Amino acid sequence: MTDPMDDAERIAALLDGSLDARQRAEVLARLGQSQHALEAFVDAAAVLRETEGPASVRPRRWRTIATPLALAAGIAIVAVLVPAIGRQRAPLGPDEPERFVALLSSSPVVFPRDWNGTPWTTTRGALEPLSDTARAIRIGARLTDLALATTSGDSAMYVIAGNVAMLLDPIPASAPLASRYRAATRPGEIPRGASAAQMAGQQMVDLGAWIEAARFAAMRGDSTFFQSTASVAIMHRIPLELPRAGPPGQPIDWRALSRGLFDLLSRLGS
Amino acid sequence: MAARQELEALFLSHLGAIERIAGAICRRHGMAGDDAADFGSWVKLKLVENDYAVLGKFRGESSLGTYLTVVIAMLARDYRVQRWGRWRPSAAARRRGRIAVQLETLVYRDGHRLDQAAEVLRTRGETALSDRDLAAMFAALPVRGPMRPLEVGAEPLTAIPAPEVVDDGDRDRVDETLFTALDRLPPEERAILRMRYWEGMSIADIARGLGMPQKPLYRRIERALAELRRHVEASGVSRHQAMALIGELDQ
Repeated sequence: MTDPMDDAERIAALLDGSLDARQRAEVLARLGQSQHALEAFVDAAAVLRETEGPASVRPRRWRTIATPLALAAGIAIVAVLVPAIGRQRAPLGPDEPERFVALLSSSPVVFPRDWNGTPWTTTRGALEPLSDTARAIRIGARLTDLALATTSGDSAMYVIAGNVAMLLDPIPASAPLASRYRAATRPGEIPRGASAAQMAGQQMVDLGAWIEAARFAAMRGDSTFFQSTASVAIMHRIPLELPRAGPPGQPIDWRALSRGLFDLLSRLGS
Repeated sequence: MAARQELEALFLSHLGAIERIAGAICRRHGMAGDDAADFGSWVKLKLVENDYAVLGKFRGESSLGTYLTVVIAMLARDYRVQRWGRWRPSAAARRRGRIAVQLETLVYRDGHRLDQAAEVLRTRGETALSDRDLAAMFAALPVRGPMRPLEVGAEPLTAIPAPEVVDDGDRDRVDETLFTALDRLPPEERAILRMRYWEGMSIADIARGLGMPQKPLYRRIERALAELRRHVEASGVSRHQAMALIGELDQ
């Protein structure tokens, strides 16, 4: 028997627009089979409309819609990413993964309410058979989220810190560092990301951190982020091209970019 | 699963949102006063139970706020079932459409006075009918035992003449055919039609909730209704009756 809370999260994901077409069809089918689920959907949609206003101002989460950008980037990543970055004789930049947050314009960025935008079904990497690369990517992404939450004073920082700890757990000799993340009860007690990056792999942690920061930038239409030296260098190495709404010279297609980055992070972290 | 302290911190940091969501659910279902207060307390208890198990099951596939909204909506249904038992609208109410179903539910299941039920429906934007029109609609429904004490309303029901008793045997069979045909539709189409015609959602709200554009949704509903009519006709109902039956859904 389905756990009602599984239904609840799937219905919530449907309302947030964070399901792909196949997942959306599955949840819709479930609504057609379960009066309980249907009533919950109807009530929740009505409450969200009341509490959050019209759809035009309610931010939709990204959908995992495959785009040429995502597919091309994903295939390119698998084929060339690790060797390409491995050929670099120096790290991509200073050793703090959080530095990419500083590239966002109008910093400090307000951490979106209820943001939990990782594209993976779970961040409980302690028990999940992740590759070293996938684990490092996830750690990087969560370090960016942690930096944003800390900057915003959002109490979600402690949950995210716990996520980082769980991802660190399987890494040899990481227990003391993971404990520090878990034990933090004030922003000042949360460790800097350099130690986690050194343990998990600087380059992949940096990449995960940059992609997550890029997602925020794309959500905001922040072209400054993508024009920075650090971003240009990373995009050149991936490689990643900014999708345009038309011929070269046209504005960036931010929605396509958001979807592409979401898919990229999903593939790399899986 | 995340540590208890983390989940407790999460619960506490979202307590305001939880209370707002519970309040909105109460308003939607006409719960007020002591009922609303009881429900609010019950929701918090459920979220705290088993070391915040509900929060611990959150996987991050959605935003936490939306997850909590859906969870509390589900808890609301459980609360109503627990307090007032399982409720099924009458065939007569279903035949008369969503307003009749909601009116019957508010009065007989939730124990509202007729004028209160009318006000709830108008506040929700479900109808613009007057008290008198709603009273006439209600008077045509079968009398049912209240699931909780029924207060005397502002407008005596006896002031509204009851319709003549008519043998509705044929109509009940046709109605049953409609619901059987509905069950034969693909689950997605079934869900959309239920949202539209039995749960009273507008096309815009359905489109927004499902993340679909409205124009394709209109076409999808039209196709689903056409298929529904085919199933009804295939069951032996005349074309005229089938068209009338489907047509009533839009009233």
